[in-house]
Amino acid sequence: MIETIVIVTIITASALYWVRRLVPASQGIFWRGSADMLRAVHAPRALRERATQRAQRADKLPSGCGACTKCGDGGGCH
Amino acid sequence: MSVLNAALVGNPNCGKTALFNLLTGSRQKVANYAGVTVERKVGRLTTPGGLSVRLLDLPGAYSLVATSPDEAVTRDVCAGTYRGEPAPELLVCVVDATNLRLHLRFALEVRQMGRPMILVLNMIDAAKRQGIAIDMPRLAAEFGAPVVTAVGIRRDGGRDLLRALDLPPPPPPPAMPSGSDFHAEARRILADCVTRPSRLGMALEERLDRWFLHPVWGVVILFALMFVMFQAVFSWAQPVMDLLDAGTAALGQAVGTILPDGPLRSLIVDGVIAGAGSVVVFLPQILILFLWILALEESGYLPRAAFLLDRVMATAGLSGRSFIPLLSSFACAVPGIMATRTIQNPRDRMITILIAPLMTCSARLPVYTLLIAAFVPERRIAGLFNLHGLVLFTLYMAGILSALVVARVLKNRDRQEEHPLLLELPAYRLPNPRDLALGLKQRAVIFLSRVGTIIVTVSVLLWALASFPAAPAGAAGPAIEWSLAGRIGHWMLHVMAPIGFNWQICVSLIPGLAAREVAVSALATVYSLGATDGDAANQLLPLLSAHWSLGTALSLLAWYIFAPQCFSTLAVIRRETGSWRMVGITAGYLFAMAYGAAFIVWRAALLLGWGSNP
Repeated sequence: MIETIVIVTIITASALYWVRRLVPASQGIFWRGSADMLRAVHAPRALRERATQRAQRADKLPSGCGACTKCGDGGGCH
Repeated sequence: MSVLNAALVGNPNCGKTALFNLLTGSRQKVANYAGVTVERKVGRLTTPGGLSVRLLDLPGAYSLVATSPDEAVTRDVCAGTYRGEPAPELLVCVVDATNLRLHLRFALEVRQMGRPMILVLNMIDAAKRQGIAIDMPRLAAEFGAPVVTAVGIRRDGGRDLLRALDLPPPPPPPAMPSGSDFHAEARRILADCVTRPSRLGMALEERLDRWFLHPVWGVVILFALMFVMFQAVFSWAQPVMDLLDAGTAALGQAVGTILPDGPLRSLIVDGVIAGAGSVVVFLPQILILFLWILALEESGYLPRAAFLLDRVMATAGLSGRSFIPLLSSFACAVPGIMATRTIQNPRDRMITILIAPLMTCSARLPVYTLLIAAFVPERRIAGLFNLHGLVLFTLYMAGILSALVVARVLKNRDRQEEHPLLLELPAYRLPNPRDLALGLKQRAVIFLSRVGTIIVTVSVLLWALASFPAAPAGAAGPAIEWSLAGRIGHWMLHVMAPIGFNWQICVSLIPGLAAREVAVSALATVYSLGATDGDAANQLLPLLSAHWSLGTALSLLAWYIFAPQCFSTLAVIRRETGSWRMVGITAGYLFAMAYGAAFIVWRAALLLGWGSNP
């Protein structure tokens, strides 16, 4: 059981890493969902506000392909 | 606390970025040729007096009448019309103290903008060594703005500038009447304030240029340098690569004995260690390649090579100005494509962007060296040359020649008048060991962070795709054949079998979209999962030698000369051209050339009897 949880966690983390790289704006969906969920379960206000702030920040991110940054750092891209 | 908004401006290669790095602690790329910085960079610093400064490093420009996209950035920022960037409150105009005649002209043009400015005489140490004497108070009076000296490559080289920043901003310098001749004014100021020695000091440089710029010997020297570079990539790196290889294998075995048999052990050993380990071993080769490139960049040789190859580039319809972006593409096509902003002719710029992915980027090096080591015998030619290095040199040349042919074809479609090459040749400089070490450290960090992020995560995802769903009970053959990755690979075979690829190669090409070298880690993961106990489970090289025909290896090498798959390259083409059509054209023609070349190589290999497994 623990082995399965560890494997699923590693695979999910890797998948999220790529979703975040390829579609940065998708973070907005994640954090908005988290904020809604925290509100629904009456989580502490600090947590809810934090998730809402993250969602707002993520909404300002570029929407993926062609929006990459750090390209100019001496080939330090991707 | 108030923040001063200042911008570094000046001619290309006057040392703005070196000064920017010194003042802000940044690590932006510097090199001894014009056009390294093509977009604005922002850094922050606090002066000894406690003033907070937001410093912009702008692309070098010869004139504010911009003729290329990078010069347009400088013009717009200085004029305060650049979107999202407030007008600078202070212009820090950097000039090369050894080349004041050219650089002072641009400083006078900047002065016309009527903004507060400071004139920085950079490389003052080199000017003193050359015997150039500058009457600073007189220069400040003639120019109408404070003048300070700096040495951008010395730790305390920005001290005078920091002191000047602490003073209240100077009033805007007086402007010249419109229509004034900046060249004549620069000459007048220099005659009043600068004393130059006789030309004896230039003799060595001129002697060197007589060889390096010679139409025959210059080309011979250039090819010799490139040839030795590829020999070194193989010969010097081998001992360290063997160590890393042994270390990776030992780590895999150690983890394998600690963890109990099961999916977690498979994930760590077959996925992460086999995948990432197979790429990490190429670090020494990549560092040796970059050691050469960095040394050439620092020495001032590269613009001379561009000048030398102008005639060769002209046969392809391009100018030597395309040489530096194409050369940058040997590291990675992304900065190479961005460096095309220095090209004035829009058509030439587009064509250079289109052919930049054909230059062999460092991400292809692991694929090349893996296949060369597996299929080309280790042999010396004439007791001098390493056959591996020779094959690598040939692959790089194949990329260059393909690029020239493509450029010629594209240029023929739209003939325009040729633009003569005007190029500033920097002074020769011995590469600074500290700068080389820093550059190599930066490359190593970039490479290892790619391994730690892109390659590890892709290996994990590929392991999942190659492990699930599990084979049904009683199924024959390796379980990976039943997995999702196995099925995708077999489905892709319909398209790829005519060029000699097997399903494992097909699977590795998909994660190779993230970065080309990921194909190596993907092959390692796929073969590791499909390996039987009799195979050397974590050793990719003997596995490939045993399972692939020579024809398949040659076909894959031919594919990788064109290697259409790289998301980042396509993304930066979209950003630089603002056109999805260009992205489609690039991906389409690269894929067609890769497929065509691999098809021809595979068919030729079949005719020669190289198509069957050993």
